[in-house]
Amino acid sequence: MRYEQIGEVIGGTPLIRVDALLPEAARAKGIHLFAKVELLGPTGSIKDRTAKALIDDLLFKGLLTPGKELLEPTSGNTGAALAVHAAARSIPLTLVMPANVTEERRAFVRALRATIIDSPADQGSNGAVLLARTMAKADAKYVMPDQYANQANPKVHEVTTAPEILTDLPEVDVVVAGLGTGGTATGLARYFAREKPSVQIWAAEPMPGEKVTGLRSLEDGFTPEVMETDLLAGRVLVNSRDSIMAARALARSSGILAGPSTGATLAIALRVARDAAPNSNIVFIACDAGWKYFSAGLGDGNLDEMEDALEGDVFWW
Amino acid sequence: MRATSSGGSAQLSITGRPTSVSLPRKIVDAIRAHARAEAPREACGIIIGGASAASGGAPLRWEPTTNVLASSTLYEIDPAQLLRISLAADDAGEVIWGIVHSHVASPAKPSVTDTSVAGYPDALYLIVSLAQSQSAPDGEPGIRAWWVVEHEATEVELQISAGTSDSRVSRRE
Repeated sequence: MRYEQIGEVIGGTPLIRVDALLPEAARAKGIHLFAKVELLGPTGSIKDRTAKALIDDLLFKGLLTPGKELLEPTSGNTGAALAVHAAARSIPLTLVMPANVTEERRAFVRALRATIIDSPADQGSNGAVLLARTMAKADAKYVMPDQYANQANPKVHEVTTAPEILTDLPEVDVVVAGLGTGGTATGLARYFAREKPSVQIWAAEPMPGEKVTGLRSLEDGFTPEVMETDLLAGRVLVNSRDSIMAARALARSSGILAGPSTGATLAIALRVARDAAPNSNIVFIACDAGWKYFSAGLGDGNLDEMEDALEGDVFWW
Repeated sequence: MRATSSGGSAQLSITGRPTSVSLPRKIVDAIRAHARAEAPREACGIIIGGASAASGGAPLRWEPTTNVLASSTLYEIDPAQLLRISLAADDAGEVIWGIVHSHVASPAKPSVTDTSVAGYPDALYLIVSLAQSQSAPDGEPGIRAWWVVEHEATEVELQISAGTSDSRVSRRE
């Protein structure tokens, strides 16, 4: 396979059957469980699709002209993915991130030519958003993709992720995605509402006050503009501990090494499987790779310590 | 917070944790039966409780699991089973109270491997030994219970809560 640039390799991710994770009773009912393995992209997360789509959208709208620079507040995978796709197109990128983001992530984006601006550590993600918006107002050279409000975010899942699932598994009945920006769940829901309305889209949402890195609780007071919760079959709460345990179980029983946000979607998929009709085919989105969380103890660390690490003051991916 | 070293029950220093726990006879019997059935491989399983053992919660039921290593000296609970048990416990408002495995020929004390992989500081680690020298006074396999905190094990007194006149389940050193 030959490509002109790395952005062309995004998508087309595999659907891998992981029935070993199902309870015996579910397997006996003919239920099957599949992981949509998004973590195989260049930055190991589904945000490769998002970042490429956001940049494509800005270029298409003529907003990213020569002399302009991308600016995004991010303490997560989106920053890493923007760095890859901006580098591939020689677009200058500035990322605003809390000062307590892990050194691994800083090194990653620096290696891809991104400029990092620190926002106050004690103000978290909100502080990064505030500083980035202030910078964008003060200097017209900056263009903010804004994944929380940009319809290019759900759109990419509507036109790529969802049809890939239906093509690979026409018998699909349920898809479970994590709730972060809402882009994945909303895009999936829009597509299936049109193409196969019987498919239920469930969203895994962290319990209020708990951090599952990459995901977000709507109860904590922020609903992204791209999110359309009416299209979902439901949102199911998941705690940090179960997310970590599920990520470990997935790694050890299937060889798919994913992060806690994937664990969250798997945990919800297993809950859905328990009550699913016979012969149901359930897909969960394996959205983020596990190698980013080794220093938090994902591999074999003490569960309490890993929960503390992920819920503490350090920003992971 | 650090625990005292193995076997030092008189020197318990894990603040606030029970120094003695009791298990229902039916759970003890099921653990012994599972250990015998799995021999010569190490057996393993989970005890579910209403609250954590560390906080004084009571054990409710026993869930035997598969040792995916199928080894006579090592165990790993099938991670898919562990996940399902944990999710079901969450849904029921319960917790993993105890983690059980067998030693087929050695004492019911945590090995270096056991303490290095123990990841549930609030759960009790129980070991059943099939070694004859470790049998309880009634001839049944001895069972001992341990806190494993920061890779150090501290023994906890273990009693059977009903159905026997002899509450001792192991020979303590």
